[in-house]
Amino acid sequence: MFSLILGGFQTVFEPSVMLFLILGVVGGIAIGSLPGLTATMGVAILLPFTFGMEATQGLVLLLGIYIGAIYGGSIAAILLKTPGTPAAAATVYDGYSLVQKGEATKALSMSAIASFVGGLISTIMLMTVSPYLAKFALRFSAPEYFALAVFGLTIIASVSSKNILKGILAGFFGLIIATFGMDPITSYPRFTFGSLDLLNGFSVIPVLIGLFAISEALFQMEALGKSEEKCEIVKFKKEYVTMKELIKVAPTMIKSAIMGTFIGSIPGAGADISAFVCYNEAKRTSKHPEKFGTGILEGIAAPEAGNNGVTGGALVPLLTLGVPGDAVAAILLGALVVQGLAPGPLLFQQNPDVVYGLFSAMFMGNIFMLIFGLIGIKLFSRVCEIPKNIIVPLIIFLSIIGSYSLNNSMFDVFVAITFGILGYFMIKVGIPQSPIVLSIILGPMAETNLRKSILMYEGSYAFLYTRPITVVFIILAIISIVSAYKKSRVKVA
Amino acid sequence: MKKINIVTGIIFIIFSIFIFIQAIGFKQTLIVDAGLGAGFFPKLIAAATIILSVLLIISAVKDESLTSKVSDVFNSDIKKPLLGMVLILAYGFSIMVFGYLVSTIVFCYIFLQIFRVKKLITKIAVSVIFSFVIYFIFGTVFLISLPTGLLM
Repeated sequence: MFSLILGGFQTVFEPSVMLFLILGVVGGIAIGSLPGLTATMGVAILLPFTFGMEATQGLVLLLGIYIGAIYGGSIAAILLKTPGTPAAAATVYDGYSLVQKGEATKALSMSAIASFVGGLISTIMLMTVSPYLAKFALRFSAPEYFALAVFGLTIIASVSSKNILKGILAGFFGLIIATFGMDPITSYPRFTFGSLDLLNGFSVIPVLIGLFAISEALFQMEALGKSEEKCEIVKFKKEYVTMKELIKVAPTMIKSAIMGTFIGSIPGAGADISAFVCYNEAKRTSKHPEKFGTGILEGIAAPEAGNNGVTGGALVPLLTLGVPGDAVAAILLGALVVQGLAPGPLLFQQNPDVVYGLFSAMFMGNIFMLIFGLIGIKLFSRVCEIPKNIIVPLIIFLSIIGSYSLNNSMFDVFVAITFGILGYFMIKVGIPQSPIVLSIILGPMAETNLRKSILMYEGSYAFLYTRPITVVFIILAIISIVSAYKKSRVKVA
Repeated sequence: MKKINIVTGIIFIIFSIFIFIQAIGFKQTLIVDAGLGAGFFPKLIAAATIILSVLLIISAVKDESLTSKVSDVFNSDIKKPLLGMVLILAYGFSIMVFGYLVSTIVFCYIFLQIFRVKKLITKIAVSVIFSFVIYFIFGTVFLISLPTGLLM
């Protein structure tokens, strides 16, 4: 295994790969620090640029953006009281309070270091856990994969929306969309309405670009030109966080990083959820919970270590099982597939170079994030000065070109536009988008394996309760739905 | 009938019924007949979606605090995004006719104009430079040819 890790680092240290990693991290921090541009959107619109690259270069660029953007979100959260990405929403409380005391540099350096610790710990966990998980997953056959897909779908639906019904509805809508095109088992053309373009169904990437980039751009248009957004940054001292303070918050950072990794590895639960869970947990177990929100370092360390902890965690199910851990992982899945690599347990056997290259890229990416995060504080704090009324149109054009370049197809462009418009209305009525995308990916997996299982058992559904791993997944699926339902009842009452 | 969740539920029901009816028409091509043809999964999912939509509607009727009014969600804020949608669609068709480069420069300028970018020089510079940079990156670096339209 050590030779594989070493080989991975060799790949990353190639100048061309290194360059793309640095580009990704810096670009990611900039994207994240612009309110309105999320990590998901950044990865989605830049994905098409990787089609023409080598597999490692492209993947490293996207990973860099992912790592950078999750940290970058905290810059706007701290300086402007507006989270740059949803994942940084919890950082606002203590981050902005520190800024008001003139301690912006301290807050930002705390955030960079916490993000680094979160990312690093989760990368180490990814490196150690996933090879074993992949080995275990080799034993899976159709019934297990069906149960896994069901488990993934229920989790996604139950965590992604305030209204659990809307979350599940979004998931089922995605499943319906996933059935368009040729039936995977009998090749019967479904819902193609005579169109040749639809024979292969909707490509995931244009749908992703539509749902995450175009719809968000449309949503941002609402506020454009209404009132000029404030981008005034108060003057601040140049004092970084001290060693003593770091040692004090270290336990919080490590705990949040580990929690973040676990949350990230659950399909559907992403950085935004992790940040809030870690913030609340740090507050709950703190000796002085009343100080949270008044500008204490733990209040930045916990959510930032937590949300960057997700980055490694989200890759665990993606690489080992082919099930994306969050929306960004879903896009990375698309990137892998475009490069002709199929994520899943076999990837570890067939392309260990790629897998360990990714691990090392995560590792180095976090180090770059720390370096550029610390030295670039002044620079990144000015990103918000880029006017949004220029950024929003450019996002749209990049989205359109991106969806075209996948297959050189105008059909894909209109798929992206359609899902962009649909996605906008879904944002408006409160239907979350990530379940749709994840079920478009998990749908074929669920369907094929369900039908295969039923055929394996000659028409009986006995596989649902006679295979131990399947039973565990089904029970987990039921628990996730029931607990989410109960939680939503408590909130209302 | 003005609650957003009720309207959402109804739209999903109509969509699912359409899917269900379409799926009934799929021919059974499997040799083993366990009701597992091409239509099996879509019918299952569509039926589940209908049930979920009904639940959504019931919960909205029972407890009005759970859902906001249609008029609150779709207020005058929606005008700009609607205009944006029309423009994006027009841009898509324009690419097919006039090709990537011309369409992008023109539509980029229109977008910037609508979103009140004030300086003329900014508008022209952004739309021309952006379009050419993308054209260069995709065409020359990645060797992905962007659409040239019908006229070329």
